[in-house]
Amino acid sequence: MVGNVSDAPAPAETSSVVRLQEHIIEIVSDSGEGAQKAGQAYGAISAKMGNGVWTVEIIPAEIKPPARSRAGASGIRVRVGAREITNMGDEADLVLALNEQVLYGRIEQGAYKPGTVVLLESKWAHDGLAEVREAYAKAVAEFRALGLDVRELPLEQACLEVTPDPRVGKNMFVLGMLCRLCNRDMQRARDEVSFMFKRKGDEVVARNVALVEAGYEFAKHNLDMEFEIPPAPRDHQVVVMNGNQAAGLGIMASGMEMVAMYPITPATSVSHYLAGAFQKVGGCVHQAEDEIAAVGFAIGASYAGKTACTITSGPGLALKTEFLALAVMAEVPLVVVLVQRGGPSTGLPTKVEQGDLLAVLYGQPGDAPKIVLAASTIEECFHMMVTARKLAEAFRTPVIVLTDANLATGVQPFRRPEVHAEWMAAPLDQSPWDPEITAYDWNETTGLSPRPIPGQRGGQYVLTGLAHTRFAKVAYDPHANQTGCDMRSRKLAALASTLKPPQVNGEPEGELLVVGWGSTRGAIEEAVDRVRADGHQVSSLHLRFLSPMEPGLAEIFARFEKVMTIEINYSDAADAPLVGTSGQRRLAQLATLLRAQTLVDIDSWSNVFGQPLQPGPIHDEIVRRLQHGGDACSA
Amino acid sequence: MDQYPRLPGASAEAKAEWLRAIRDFHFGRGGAAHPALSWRPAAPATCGLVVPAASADPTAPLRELLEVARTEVPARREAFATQLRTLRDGLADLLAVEDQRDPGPERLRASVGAFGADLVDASALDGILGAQRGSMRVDGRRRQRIEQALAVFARYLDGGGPPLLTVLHTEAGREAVPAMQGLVAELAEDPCRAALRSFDAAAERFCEVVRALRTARLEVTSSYDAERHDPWIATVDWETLSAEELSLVPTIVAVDSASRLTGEAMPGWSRLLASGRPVQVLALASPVHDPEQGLDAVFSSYRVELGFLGIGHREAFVQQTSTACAEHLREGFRRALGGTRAALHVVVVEPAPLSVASRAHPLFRYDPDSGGSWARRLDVSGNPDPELDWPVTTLTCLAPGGRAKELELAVTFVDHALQESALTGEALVVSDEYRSDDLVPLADYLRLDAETAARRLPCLWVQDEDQDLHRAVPTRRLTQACRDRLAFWRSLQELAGIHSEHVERALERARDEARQGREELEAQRAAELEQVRSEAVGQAAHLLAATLVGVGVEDLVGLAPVTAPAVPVSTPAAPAAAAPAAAEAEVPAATATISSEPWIETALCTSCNDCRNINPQLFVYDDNKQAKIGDPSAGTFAQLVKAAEKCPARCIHPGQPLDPNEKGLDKLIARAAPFNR
Amino acid sequence: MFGLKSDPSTELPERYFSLEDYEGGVARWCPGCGDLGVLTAVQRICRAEQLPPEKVVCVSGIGCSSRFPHYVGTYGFHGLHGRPLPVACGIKSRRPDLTVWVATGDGDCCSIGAGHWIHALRYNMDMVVMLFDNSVYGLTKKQTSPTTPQGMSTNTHPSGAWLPPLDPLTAMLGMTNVSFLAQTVDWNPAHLHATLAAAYRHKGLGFVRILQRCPTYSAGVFEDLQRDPSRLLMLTGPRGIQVEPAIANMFPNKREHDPSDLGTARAICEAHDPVPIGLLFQDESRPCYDAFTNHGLGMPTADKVAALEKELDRFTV
Repeated sequence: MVGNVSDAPAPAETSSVVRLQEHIIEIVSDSGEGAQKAGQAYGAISAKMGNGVWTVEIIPAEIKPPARSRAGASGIRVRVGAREITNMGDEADLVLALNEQVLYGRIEQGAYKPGTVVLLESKWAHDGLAEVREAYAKAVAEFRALGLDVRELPLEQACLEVTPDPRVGKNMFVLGMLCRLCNRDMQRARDEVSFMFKRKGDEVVARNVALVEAGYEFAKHNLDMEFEIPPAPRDHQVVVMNGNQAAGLGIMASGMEMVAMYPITPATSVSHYLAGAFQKVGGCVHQAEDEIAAVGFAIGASYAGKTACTITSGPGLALKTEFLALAVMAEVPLVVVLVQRGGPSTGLPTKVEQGDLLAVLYGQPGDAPKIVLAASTIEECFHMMVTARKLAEAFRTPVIVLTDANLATGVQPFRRPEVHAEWMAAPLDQSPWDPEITAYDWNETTGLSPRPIPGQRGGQYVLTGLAHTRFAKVAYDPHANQTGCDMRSRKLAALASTLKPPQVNGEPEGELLVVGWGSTRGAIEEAVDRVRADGHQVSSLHLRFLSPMEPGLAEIFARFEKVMTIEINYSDAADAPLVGTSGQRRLAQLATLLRAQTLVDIDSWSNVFGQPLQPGPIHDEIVRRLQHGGDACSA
Repeated sequence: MDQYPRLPGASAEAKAEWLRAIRDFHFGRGGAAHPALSWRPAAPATCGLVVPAASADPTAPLRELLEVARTEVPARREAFATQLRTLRDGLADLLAVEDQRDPGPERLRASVGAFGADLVDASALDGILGAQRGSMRVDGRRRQRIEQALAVFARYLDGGGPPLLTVLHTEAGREAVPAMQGLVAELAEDPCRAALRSFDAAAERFCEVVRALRTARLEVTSSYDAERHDPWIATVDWETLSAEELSLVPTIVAVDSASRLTGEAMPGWSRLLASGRPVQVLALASPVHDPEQGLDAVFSSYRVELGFLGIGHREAFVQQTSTACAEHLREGFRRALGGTRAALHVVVVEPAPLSVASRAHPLFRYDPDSGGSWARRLDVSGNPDPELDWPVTTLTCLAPGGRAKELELAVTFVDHALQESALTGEALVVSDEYRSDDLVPLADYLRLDAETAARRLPCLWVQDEDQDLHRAVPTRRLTQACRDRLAFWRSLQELAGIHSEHVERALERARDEARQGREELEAQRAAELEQVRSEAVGQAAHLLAATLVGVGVEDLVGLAPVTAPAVPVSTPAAPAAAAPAAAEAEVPAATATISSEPWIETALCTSCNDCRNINPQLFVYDDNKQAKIGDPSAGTFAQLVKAAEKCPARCIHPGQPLDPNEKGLDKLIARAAPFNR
Repeated sequence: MFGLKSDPSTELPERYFSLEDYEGGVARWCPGCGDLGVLTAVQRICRAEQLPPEKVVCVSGIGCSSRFPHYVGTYGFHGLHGRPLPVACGIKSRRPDLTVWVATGDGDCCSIGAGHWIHALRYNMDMVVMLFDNSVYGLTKKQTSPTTPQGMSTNTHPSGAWLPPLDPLTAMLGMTNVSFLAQTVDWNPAHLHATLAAAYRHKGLGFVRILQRCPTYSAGVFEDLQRDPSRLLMLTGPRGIQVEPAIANMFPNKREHDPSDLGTARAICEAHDPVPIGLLFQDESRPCYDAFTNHGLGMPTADKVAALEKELDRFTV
């Protein structure tokens, strides 16, 4: 079709297929060129073929950055593997760039390595503006000097063969190229494109399919490389989505009918998804006037028997603190999804951090014990909501589910959940209430108390945030408050007694145990696997329950020479000025908690670059720690 | 009426002879052979206006009934089904809630989700959570009731639903039954008796659903009390259904001929109508009769008023209508299907409404739901010219002499009767040559007094094949039949409230009185105006007085009249009614009297507890939690004064001390004074 | 044979509620406190409407008046300072079957909760909001509230409040989607009762500002209004608050007012003197947020599961 697009170099027929276990591509461009759509389609096609996939969007800080700006890279990274892929990986293998300037930002972020193939739009070499031509030539030279394998290709010119307006079609052309280079199933590609453009009519579908095919032919004739990432056969259906969509679906699957929120990055997209979907399952998203009202609204619905959810990020959590304490004090079930971002204050709204753990646990006035869970995969973002709703009601307490910007925006295939009617909240109990049983009739052992729901005849009580007796009466006497605090705390002990000990990834004993929580799981386990392959006795442990903690931690830790946490929140480097000598080193948040809990001398390694942790640096740090005999050095 | 042309050049004798011949014919003494009369093919002049060619479709009434059922019943059934579904969901929720109370490890494992199941030991969790406390459990009997109701709902909701109409008919009545969807026909020897049985069976099936519904309504609000409600549920039968529910019992229709229903089938439908069961009886009548039956039979057949017999049952819905009056027919069906009563529909199957227009078979509807009086229940408004004896129609014709003229004609029973082949000889055309004022148009003739009538003869206008107009004379028999129809029509009119003598007399009286009254009124108004003016001044003074004694206003709700302070006000209504009159009479005196007993302006009490904190026997709350004096002897005057001073609404009036020996009375009385004013 | 029997037992068993059914703990407000009358009025309305006590929720924030739920025999939510309205809206969002009364004070509603105040009026959910306005913070012992008269001495402004008070009425008449706004006084139980009853019957958010006497900290604020009823302007008219003629006659100063007339309502409030009582504004056609949040209530679990499976289909590759 486009065989004669240019004076093609060596025809691709001669290239031999290289088999890879995994492969990372990036498509980068100015924003608005559809790079993300092409990458998503590429990821979906790969997932359908049975590959492991992790997709993460590259988002510029501004909504509409100027064209060809260094910090304006907009695009997508897709990591495809022969087995399950749990994180974004390290440096990319192949980059498709629609202009050369956007690559600078990526290079600064360490996204590429010497040898990374860069397929670069070459039209800028012939641009009408001399400065553009010069900038282009300069960049190409610089990239090559860095060791990047730059291939200049007349992409736009090739597109013009198929469409009069390459600006809106180039992304599909790029998709076709990737299909050829990575040996993707073209029929699946056609189907995917047809599905994507179905709503826009047959003509648009035909044009885009033609573009994909043209891209395929173009790559075949112009590039002498071809990869294959063998897919693994799967016996189950998979879904592909990001963590916020998974959380939204999980909320619906839990039977909760109300989400009250206030817009805040990066949590908001949960409500974007739910705004369209929630109605279909009889639910509603309430966009409140502020963060405080959002949690108050959710508590109102919960109190009335319809356990509700509020979704927020760090600054929003700060505002919700008072209500959160009320929910603890008055024992109102509530689910809070906290999508963490960089802090403190407004901090890094779009970036990853795990900095809210201690705030969640201890950020309320007085003692406010509550259940805290952390999702470690996108799949868990879904399933954890079901558990959270159930535990919130069973233990009559708020449950906070921690995720972060990495999970929120990462896209991964996972086993399609089979929705269970049992997951859904039971219908509202409106049976008459035994007046002998009072609203805070605590069980002395478990701290659990029965909860009348408005509408239950005979169960009338007044919920109050003041200290109260088991009869729900306000009481300021010394024993009432001590008893209330005992009971609320006892619930956590009761829950802890039902938890199974966590599974160690790797051998149950060895030189070093790496402990993590949240979205770092994929990267940590991949790194630990690599270190073990290097011949070290390293294992990892990932905590999902952070309050109460899973049992048996001290016993597990005792079997390792050293234990360290790896987290994305701030900690002092051991050799930072004054820190090492003052004995005041501030460790990462989980490490602090674990030390208090287990009395084990736990170290930590963390950083707050706002980036997801990648397996490479973790691997290097572990190796370094092992080689240096455990002296905690700089992060 | 125009002058009749005279018999030209005839002698008085000849004229008398012609007249005699006509009279003879009229009175059935022969005369038909006389040249004054002739038998010529001719039809009443009014016929052309109302008789079309087509014959009537015998299935029309049931088609219409089915159509009405189709527009009414499905929506009703759907609304009911929706109600059942809501209750079903409510009951299912009850069981679901109950099942969740004590889920056991297995269900608990499923309910914590895939993630929870991996991390949480469901058995341990089950041990911690234990059985839920507080909510009343669903016990075995209650569960049984709920499950039973759910089973009934499922049968009703999942079943296809009964047909819209179940029609019972005789062999002969088969031709009236159309083959249409939604209608099921069953052969019966006596359709009315069979319909009664059919209804009882259908009603019992439906009552089972209603029992489930009643049970469910109580259960979803957890109000079922076996002791009270078991017997109540057990006694549910069709008579205990609500109107809405009863209208959902499948419609049973008994179809039979009017002649059978006025004959051997009479006991069946009469019993049915008396039973009150909402069954539809469809009596099909033919506008013409079988000539084989002979004249008497034909004449008497008109006199058996099937519809009127139906009305005799008083509480049944009855309509008499015609397939030629589709809107009337349909409206009657609509009301019958929407109501809860046995219904008799007497329907004449005819292509055009001549039997209606001629008052042979007037339209009427008797609907006991419309009210208590005849005038409200009986409606004859569908008939043409319902206020007149006979409907009037205008005929344009060529008069002898070739002149076009408009003739105003009354359509009488005769016009209809002459359609009957048995009766064609009951009127003969009068020779055009004979002209006489003795021939009076029938409608006018029937209004004559007996004496005048004896000297006149009735006549009607007929038209021959050439459309030429002639007069015809009916026999006396036919004329009497006509008179009989008129009498029946007039009684219908009167019952329906048209030309009620009672009403007309009353109207006249009222008119007289009104005339008289108007004059009196005008005189009165002037006087009243003066009175109001003077009263207003009085009232203002009175108000002022009331305010001065601290009462506020004389008709203050819940406030004792100033003159009767001894009565503590407990119910606001009673004194409110009594107060204005008493106060009005006594207020001038009250300015001088100071109440000796303590009292409270209860309506002004803000329930602040201040007085009750001083003495809860002396001050008590009424039903509205507002203060009144309880036992005046239970406290001291000092307490009364203190309370009056504390009261933020200043609505306590201490009165005079009861105990003259109480300490410090002088000071207390002085302190009380501002509150007694 | 006689057709339908009229059987009273076809009705659901009647429970009759008396005033005691709506009584909770013994009220611990100061003697003479205006809150007591409001409490009685609400209890009487519940009784008149025969609301099952378990179907009523009283929601409050923090402050003297917010103790209200403790004294009512219904369900209650005594929450956070300034935050009763989001909670009440949340309750109503999925429980339209519950009757919600909100008790809030001038500090609770117009100061710390002002943001929620604006938005709750805009949401216009079906409930009654009672603003107990005594012009002072009582529970924390006499601090200046937003409605404290200029010059009144308080513990935070001993030399007198510096600024003129916020006028809740004029503020609310400018708020979008307000649908019922009335003012009454605690010391006229009949007018208070009639006003709250009208707010209860109103479909949407019925907001009633109650001028309420605090005998302890702001005793003088309404004294002259109480002693001289001519300082009050009673709004009358066929669509207004209806009271017995005897009650109406206690207010010599009257004005006929059409509650659909927003402009006149504003003019009346902005005059400040005389102080209006009665129904200032009502528009039942204004949209209620409940209509949206109640969506899909009672959807059977099987339908939810089916809808969710369909939703998962969208993500299935």
